Amino acid sequence: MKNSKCQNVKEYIEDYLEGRLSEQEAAEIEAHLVSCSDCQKEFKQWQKLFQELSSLSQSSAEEQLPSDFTAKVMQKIAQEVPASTESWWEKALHLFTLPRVSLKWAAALGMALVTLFLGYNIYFSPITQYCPNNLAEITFSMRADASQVKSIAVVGDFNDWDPTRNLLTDENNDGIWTVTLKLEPGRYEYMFILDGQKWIPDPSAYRYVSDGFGNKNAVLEISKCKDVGINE
Amino acid sequence: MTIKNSNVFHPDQDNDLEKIELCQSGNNEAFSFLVEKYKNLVYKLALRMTGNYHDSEDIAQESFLRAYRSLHQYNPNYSFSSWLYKITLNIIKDRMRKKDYAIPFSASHPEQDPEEVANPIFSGGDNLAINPEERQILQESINNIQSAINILPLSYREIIILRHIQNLSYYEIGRVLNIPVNSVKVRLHRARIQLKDLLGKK
Ligand SMILES: [Zn+2]
Repeated sequence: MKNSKCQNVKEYIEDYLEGRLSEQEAAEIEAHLVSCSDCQKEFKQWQKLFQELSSLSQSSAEEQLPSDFTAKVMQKIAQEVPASTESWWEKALHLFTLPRVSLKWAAALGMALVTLFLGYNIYFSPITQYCPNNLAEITFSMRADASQVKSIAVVGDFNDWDPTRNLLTDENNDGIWTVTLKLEPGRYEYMFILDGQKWIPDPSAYRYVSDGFGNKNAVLEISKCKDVGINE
Repeated sequence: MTIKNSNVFHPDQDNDLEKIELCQSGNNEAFSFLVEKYKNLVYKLALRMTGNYHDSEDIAQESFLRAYRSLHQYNPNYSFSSWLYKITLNIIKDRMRKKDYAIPFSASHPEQDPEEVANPIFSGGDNLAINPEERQILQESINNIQSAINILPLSYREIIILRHIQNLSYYEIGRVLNIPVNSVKVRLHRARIQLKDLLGKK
């Protein structure tokens, strides 16, 4: 039999099962259920639903990620742009760290030389494992979304900070822009310029120095070939 | 007779804020605290939404990476967990739009591999099942309800999971889904009715 009391009870079954009713309201519901088989039947269905949801919730407590999950996430984060760099350009672009200035011949010469290098350079400069004609081949690279960036130039002590001379390109459209320069050993400060106006330090440079104007420049150090005895 | 939520999650928001500010000032280690604290909650959400272990781990990872990248947009009026759930649900919806998850899911366990069958995704808790028989009954009931949830439309599925699996309050659900609390109540009611009908058909 349908009456307004039944209607009222049915409306509050969910709140009752969630424990959202006052003691008095709950007591009224319970009293009606004892006397009304129609509402009781409906109540049982709701109760079953809530019980099943509850057992699903409790079984979920066992579902856990592998223990190295956090480490993996942090590792990925470490590969991204350091959070300490200026955020105005970080917001404008999706930038990720790349294996920085890399030298073509590094792999061939192996770790022994790298170790040797550390003795000569206070900062682990990436450079100069091989010097044909006493020039180091340096690849500058940067990741940038082509839909947001039209041009990237590298400017520095090696090209008189001229933004027209050395442009990075992304020929295979993989989002990684590069340019390779042959540089004499030495210490160079440099920056990237995006779209002719945004100056940013190479996110993957080994070190930075203040440019005296409140920004910082990336620094590239190329050891002299004779330092490691492989002068040609 | 009343079923209360025994394990409602109360995030200590002050502590989270402290960590978030540390992250924003360049301290990445502070972020690992947040990952460690929320990883299983995010995973659980993904698992219940997609029913797929492997994808869920991937979704959880992407959630934290996205959260990290947009930390400067974090609004402290949200609890960190609500904000995180919002990101996770967006990732799941993106993926569903793009590809493989059927919407709705097939009623049986989606994409289950043999390993997962041997070690069922919906395993009953030790605290619940005492003997093998009871365990099996519980297991069946859990499979039952999960299959029914999988059939629900996305908007019903997410609200049921946020309320009953993640144990969020109506207010928090409203924040995650960007809807007023009254709408939470209405949508939840409709979702439950549909779920109840689905269970009744079995
Ligand atoms: Zn009645």
